[in-house]
Amino acid sequence: MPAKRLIDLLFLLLYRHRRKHMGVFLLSTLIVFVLLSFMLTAQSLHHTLFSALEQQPDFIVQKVRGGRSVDTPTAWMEEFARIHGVERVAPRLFGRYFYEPNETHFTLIGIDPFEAQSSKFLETLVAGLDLKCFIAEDGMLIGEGVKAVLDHHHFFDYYVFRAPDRSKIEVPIMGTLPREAAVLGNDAVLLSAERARTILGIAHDHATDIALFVPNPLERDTVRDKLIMAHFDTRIIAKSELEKLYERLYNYKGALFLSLFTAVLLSFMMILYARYQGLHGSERREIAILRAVGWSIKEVLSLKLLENALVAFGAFALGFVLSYMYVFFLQAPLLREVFMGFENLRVHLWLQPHLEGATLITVALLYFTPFMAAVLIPVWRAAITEPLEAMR
Amino acid sequence: MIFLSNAVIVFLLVEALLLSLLLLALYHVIPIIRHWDFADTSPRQYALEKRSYLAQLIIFFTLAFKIALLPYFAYMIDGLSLMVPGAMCAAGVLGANDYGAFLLGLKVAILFGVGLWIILNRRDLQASDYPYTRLKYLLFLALFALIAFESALDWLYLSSIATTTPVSCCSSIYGASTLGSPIPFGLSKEELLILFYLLYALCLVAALYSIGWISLFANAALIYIGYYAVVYFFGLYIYELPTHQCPFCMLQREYGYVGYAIWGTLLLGGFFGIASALFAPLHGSTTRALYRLSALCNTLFVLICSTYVLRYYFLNGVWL
Amino acid sequence: MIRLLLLTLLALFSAQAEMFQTVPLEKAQLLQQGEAKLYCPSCGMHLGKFYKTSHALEHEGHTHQYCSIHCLIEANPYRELKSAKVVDVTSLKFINVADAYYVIGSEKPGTMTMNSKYAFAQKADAEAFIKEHGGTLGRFDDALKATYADFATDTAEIDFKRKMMAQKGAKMYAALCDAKAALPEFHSIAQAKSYITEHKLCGMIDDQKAQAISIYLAAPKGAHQALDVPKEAKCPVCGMFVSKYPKWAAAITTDAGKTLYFDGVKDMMKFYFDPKAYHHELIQTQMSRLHVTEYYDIKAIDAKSAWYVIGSNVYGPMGKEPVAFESEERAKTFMKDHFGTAIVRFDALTPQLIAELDR
Repeated sequence: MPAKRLIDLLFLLLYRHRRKHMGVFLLSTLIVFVLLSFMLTAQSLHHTLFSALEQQPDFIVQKVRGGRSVDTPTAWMEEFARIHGVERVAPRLFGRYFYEPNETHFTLIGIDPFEAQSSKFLETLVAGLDLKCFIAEDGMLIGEGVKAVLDHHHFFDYYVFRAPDRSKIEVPIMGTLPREAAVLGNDAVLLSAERARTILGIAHDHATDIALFVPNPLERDTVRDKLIMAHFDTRIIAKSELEKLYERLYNYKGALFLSLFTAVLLSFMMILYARYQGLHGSERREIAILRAVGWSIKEVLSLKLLENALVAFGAFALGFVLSYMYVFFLQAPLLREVFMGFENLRVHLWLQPHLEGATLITVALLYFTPFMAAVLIPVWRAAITEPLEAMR
Repeated sequence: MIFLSNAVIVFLLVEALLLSLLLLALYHVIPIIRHWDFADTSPRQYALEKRSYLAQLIIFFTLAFKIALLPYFAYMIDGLSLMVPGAMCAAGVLGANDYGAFLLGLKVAILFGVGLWIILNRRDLQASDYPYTRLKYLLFLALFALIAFESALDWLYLSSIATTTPVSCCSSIYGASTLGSPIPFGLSKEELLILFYLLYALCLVAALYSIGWISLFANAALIYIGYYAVVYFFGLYIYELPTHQCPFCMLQREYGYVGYAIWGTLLLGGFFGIASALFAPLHGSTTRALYRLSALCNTLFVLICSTYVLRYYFLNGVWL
Repeated sequence: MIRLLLLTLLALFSAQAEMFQTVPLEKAQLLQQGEAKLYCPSCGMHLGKFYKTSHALEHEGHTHQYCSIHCLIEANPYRELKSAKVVDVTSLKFINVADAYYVIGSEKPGTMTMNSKYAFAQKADAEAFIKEHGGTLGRFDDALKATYADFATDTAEIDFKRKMMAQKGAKMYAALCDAKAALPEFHSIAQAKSYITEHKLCGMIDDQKAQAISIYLAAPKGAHQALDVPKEAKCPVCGMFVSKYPKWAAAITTDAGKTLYFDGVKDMMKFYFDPKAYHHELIQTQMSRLHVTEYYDIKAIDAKSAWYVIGSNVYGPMGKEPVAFESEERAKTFMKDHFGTAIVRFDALTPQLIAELDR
């Protein structure tokens, strides 16, 4: 049979049985849509997170006492700077400040503009500051989230922190952090090192922890060994470990979702099976006629399979387009919360369009396999219909 | 750790589904093997013929998906290299426990069996009296056993990848620093290359004149020698690095996923070549097509590999 | 030991800490003249702060006052030092070194050294000091000997501190000082320091900041950047893109101003030995500047003054490579950490040695 005729016949059949196919089509689209939206959101967040991680120091050294991290002596910095291969050592001063009226936490980050900064991001941020003004005013820069909270309580120009030594420290607000600072968190408060020390109760010769940059990746293992040998009361966090940890966390969330989704896929199969199992009278008659005019079971099988394949592919394409728009144009409302978790003050990360072929293949496998499994038997059952029986 | 990545879950899920489909097929296949007799005109034989349609339909689709699953397996393993300490690419992940390497070999072997089954099925359906029905279902039985074994191994392998124990990366597995020459028969690189192109020529000749036993021998040898030629010679030009010898890194995005094309064409070419020899006694148009496909895939394979080398030479004026 | 070293050196550079050496300026004797008279001409440190270890030397009618015996030696390497003067810790007056009794290695921190030396006019004072703070009694010759003995380690230590200070100084200069002001070329830290305080270039800053900024200003500029490898640059020896492996890049700049990039020391040397083999009509004398990448810092250093470690367990993109370092000490550390077999200089990188690396 010429291809053109076959295609005409196919579409004719699809059109005739549109009510039967429509249900399956919509359901399939939904399945693809949910799966892909989930994958795309995960992937885009993953992408953003890893580019943020890129900026982090190669090692962070914390002093621990009985498993708890305590403030790290800054005298160690020099010792670490002596290790060959360590290019830059920077103290990190940060901690959480409990803001009682709202029962939220601010993350205080102290910066000494003359020290090396603990991340490339802070480095560029500090480089953009008017340092004379920052030092003279000794104020703070606050994240959007903090600003909203403080505005709500009418702290427009300053806020009074309470230090552990019962003193009250008034810090003028110098401005809000730029939009790119969202990776620091919406709850970030940037202020001078001395101020941060007083409010967080960190002694002048201590820091929260120490960040190290090792430019040559080949040397990182050696540096790590030397750090381990330097002090026995330390915890050393390598960037590579953080990356793996994040990767695992993401995969864990993804895998959990997929496992639960298995149940959905199974019911999808069952619905499909039930839907196609029952043969309409008109459909039976069509097959009977085809058989009667000389079609073999094999040919009827291929026709029916093609019919279903068209529905399956159509649904896949539509589901893909819809999910792409949902994730990247609408920024995946609701779904992104699955990944964000419970943040103290919400982080607003922009989902950047990022699509990998492998994701499409993954979703395709996960969708087409059950689809195929569900339709094979009904298709066969339809194809072996006896012409005489059907005509009766 | 079975929750290693999304890909692992998807892979195992799809595999479980395929296995249950095959189980369903098995249920229909067993009575067919026992009672099939095309000459018989009884209702039982008539019913068996109908059941045979279902069985081959299910087996065909399942095996087709099975083929698609092998590259996906490679992709999944490659993705895991991010999580296994020390692994740069799939080589390290495969070496993470004792199952890995054996499993990969088994998968390739199953793929050959799957290919044979699909061709046999085709021949069977083309003939009016279904002469190979019993044979193809017997082949299916063997395949089913292998696939069930493979699925169990997959599960074992994936659930015993440790994310804390470091593994060796490809450069230390295939690296030049290992003692002695890794190339078989103590060949030098030049000899390896000569042998490689000679074998390719032999494959072409065998395909041209449809000489089954030569095709069988030459294609099997080409797979073997081709593997070493790619890892120890052509790979260097793909990576543009004279020290990097690894069959897996070329599956990565940095190299345009060219590894899938290279290994795909090599295995397909070899498969069609061997299959054509096996089907030669049956005669018919299928064998001709198989020879042609074999020659096509082998040529593609050799072209891809050689292009990398020539391109490098034209751009840089030196050999690696 | 390291701890002690850290403590003394911290004291050295910290303005807040009350130091043993410090006396109020009105009690200090300043023997030198000129606008930089408050600072040690060798290291730029404040002479009031490091008064008790101060030494002075007259040369060709000019008197220079140094913060320590270390700086005295450093500034006058080949001179007769017998006529030098030193501060008597008891009276705070300068006395001739020949008359002085030195206490060497007491627990009181030293200046520019981890082995302190204090001078006394009276032997009894010195002995009393020893009783209280430890150390051994000696004369000027003994103090000199001790200083020479520690000179290399002390200098390395000071260089390290200065490098750290210079980093801070650069940031302080950018933030606090009038960056637009045209600066003269500074030959010493002291000169820079007196210039910026004299001209109020950086507003009112304390001595510590002034020291950091001066160290930065007096340091040679433009040194130590990573090699800027163009994306399309290929190694003339093996044809690989060099920018793919920036951590190993090496470069040769010719007299004509052309720069060739290599993906490792090994390939650069191969080219250097025989440029004709790689279709370049050059001779060795036309290759004026050779740069290699330092392993630790990933920065370009002069190939001819670098130290190379052979036979380590670290491999470059081309396999075994001589790994380059800017100092012998770094090379030694690397050799120990990575099981190297030898440290060689540029001249020892012979064609035979390079050929052996390929085996």
